[in-house]
Amino acid sequence: MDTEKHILKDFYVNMGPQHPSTHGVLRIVLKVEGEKVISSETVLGYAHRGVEKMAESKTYVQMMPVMDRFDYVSSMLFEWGYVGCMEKALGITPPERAEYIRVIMAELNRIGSHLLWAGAFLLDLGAFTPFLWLFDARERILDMFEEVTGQRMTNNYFKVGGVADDLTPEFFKMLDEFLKMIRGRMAETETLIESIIFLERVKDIGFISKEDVINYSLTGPVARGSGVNYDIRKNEPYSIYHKFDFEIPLGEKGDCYDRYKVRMKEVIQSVRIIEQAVASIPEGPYAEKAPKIIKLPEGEYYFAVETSRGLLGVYLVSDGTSNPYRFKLRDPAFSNLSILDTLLPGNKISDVVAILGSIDVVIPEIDR
Amino acid sequence: MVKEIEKIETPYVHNVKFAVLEDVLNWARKNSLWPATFGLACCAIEMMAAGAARFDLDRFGAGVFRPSPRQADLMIVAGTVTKKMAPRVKTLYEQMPAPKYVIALGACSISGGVFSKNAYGVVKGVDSFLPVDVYVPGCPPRPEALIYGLLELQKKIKEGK
Amino acid sequence: MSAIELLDSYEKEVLEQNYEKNGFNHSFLLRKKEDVVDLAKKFKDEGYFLETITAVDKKDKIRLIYIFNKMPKVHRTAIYLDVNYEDDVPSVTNVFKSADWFESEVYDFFGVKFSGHPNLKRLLTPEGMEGYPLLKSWKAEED
Repeated sequence: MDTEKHILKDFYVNMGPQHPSTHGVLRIVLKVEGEKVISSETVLGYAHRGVEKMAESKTYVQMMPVMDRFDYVSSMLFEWGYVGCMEKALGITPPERAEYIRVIMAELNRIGSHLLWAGAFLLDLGAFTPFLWLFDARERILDMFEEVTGQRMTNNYFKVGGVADDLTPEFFKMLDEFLKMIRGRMAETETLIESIIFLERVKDIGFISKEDVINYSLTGPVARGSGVNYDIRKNEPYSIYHKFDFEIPLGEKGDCYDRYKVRMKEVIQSVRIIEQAVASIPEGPYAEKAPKIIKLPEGEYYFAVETSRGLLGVYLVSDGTSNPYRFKLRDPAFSNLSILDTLLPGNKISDVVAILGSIDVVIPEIDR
Repeated sequence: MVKEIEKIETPYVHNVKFAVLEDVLNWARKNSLWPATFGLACCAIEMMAAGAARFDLDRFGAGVFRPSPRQADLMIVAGTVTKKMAPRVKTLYEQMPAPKYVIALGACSISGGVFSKNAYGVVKGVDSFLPVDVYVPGCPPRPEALIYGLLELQKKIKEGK
Repeated sequence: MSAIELLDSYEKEVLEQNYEKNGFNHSFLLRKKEDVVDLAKKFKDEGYFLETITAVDKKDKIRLIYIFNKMPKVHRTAIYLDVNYEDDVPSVTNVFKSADWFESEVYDFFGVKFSGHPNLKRLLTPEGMEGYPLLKSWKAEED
């Protein structure tokens, strides 16, 4: 009997939108043959709230809390992009102390984002303990935020002309203890994580070449893992980053392990920046006088910052009124995710989880 | 002569309890609510923090987050529900076996939250298509608020819904 | 080769260039939309990458904006292109793969079609959405 016709050669497996290993609501339609992926298609839009249209009927100040809710694990970096764009348009420079406060808070946000990413990445791969250790370290950062801003996440702290409130002596005490603890904690966690099981799952998987980085407009740790040295803090410095001494860690081969290693090293570099900032923070006012009703002069404004996922560009078009005429976010995870459909074919289904985790996506940032 | 050990007399009447079957079932249900992972946006991070080491959800019996809805009996809707996602939420709710409960976590799932005006893609409140038992307000609510909401739900189950 | 020399052979209008004020090192208004693909190829040969493609509804036309940038030292160049509603623009997907999703997003929000695009689809808006939401003439049904 001829059974060839009755064997199912390849079929479709739907990953998501609700799935334990996607970081948010993302749907990937995989065409598989057995355990191997032949092609994939990413379906977006499950977290699309229509914020760019909503911005046209709100004022500039009312859009500040909404900026927090795009990348909620490191919200102050997005706030900095928005506030920086407005300050460029109005010609306001914040005072020296405000710049130092912004750098300290932004680097704490970057550390918190990488800690959460590492915990979630390992949870997807099956390891539960690093999740608990790294979340405990992140809780101390959230305690510091609560001390200064009143909220644990989505703080709404940056304002045009400076920040909302000054740092307290209690904050510096907590920061001191945190800086003493974090290096040891990171070394301990890395020793725990890098066992043969983990290395077999992430080494030599998901190669991204330097040509891919230019072709797909990749930025952030995804590009630095492939050896491309591009960080806005060094290549297009804003605020006072030129005063600090820090390195940009780079990978060599461009596989998942290199991207993981780059992020772990970036935590230590951020700790270096915070230590230098705390040693030389000046006294003075924490905010400059800004107009009560913000109206940008007519024209177009673009400002780029380095967030924990890559290059964020905030584009504002103003027609002179108190509502933006057009608000556009060039968010890093949108172009970083577009390489997924070329990386997946040829890998097994369990590698899909490792590759998606190493790209580090936050879906509401992509879907806006 | 070997000394005899005294036998401990237990009156059997103290080892038998009488209760209404309904109460016993309610007690079992409320102390082992298994939530289905359903993080959509920012509130998902506070839900993860509630399950981590500092604010432990496991001591209330609710620490085992089940990925499949067929093995869960509590759905915590954490985050903004968009128009594209709403039919899938409904399908997942229908896949859960009864008795099932719903907690609406955060301002976005209660009424749309920050996005309740002029956002075309947002469903203004998950209770427009799901029966919600407990509302936990906040943007995002602290993990202690989620634990308080869980305890309120346990009280509700004890009284027989 | 600087951006101005790159663009010498194209019909264009040079706009304001003030990095401190609006974040662009150079900005140009391109006159003919057919030049876009050739222009993108020249930028790629010089080592630029495509930062983003976006659009603004100017009430009587749509202004497309292509932003190119260079990696070692910032050189953000904005190329503007004016098209009519529901117009057809050649796609640059063969030159830069990242244009795939950028152009789909512009189609989704503004209705501008890109000819030669491998997979133009409505990327982000919910299924069954009528019209193109970011046009100034589009209003939501309720509130």
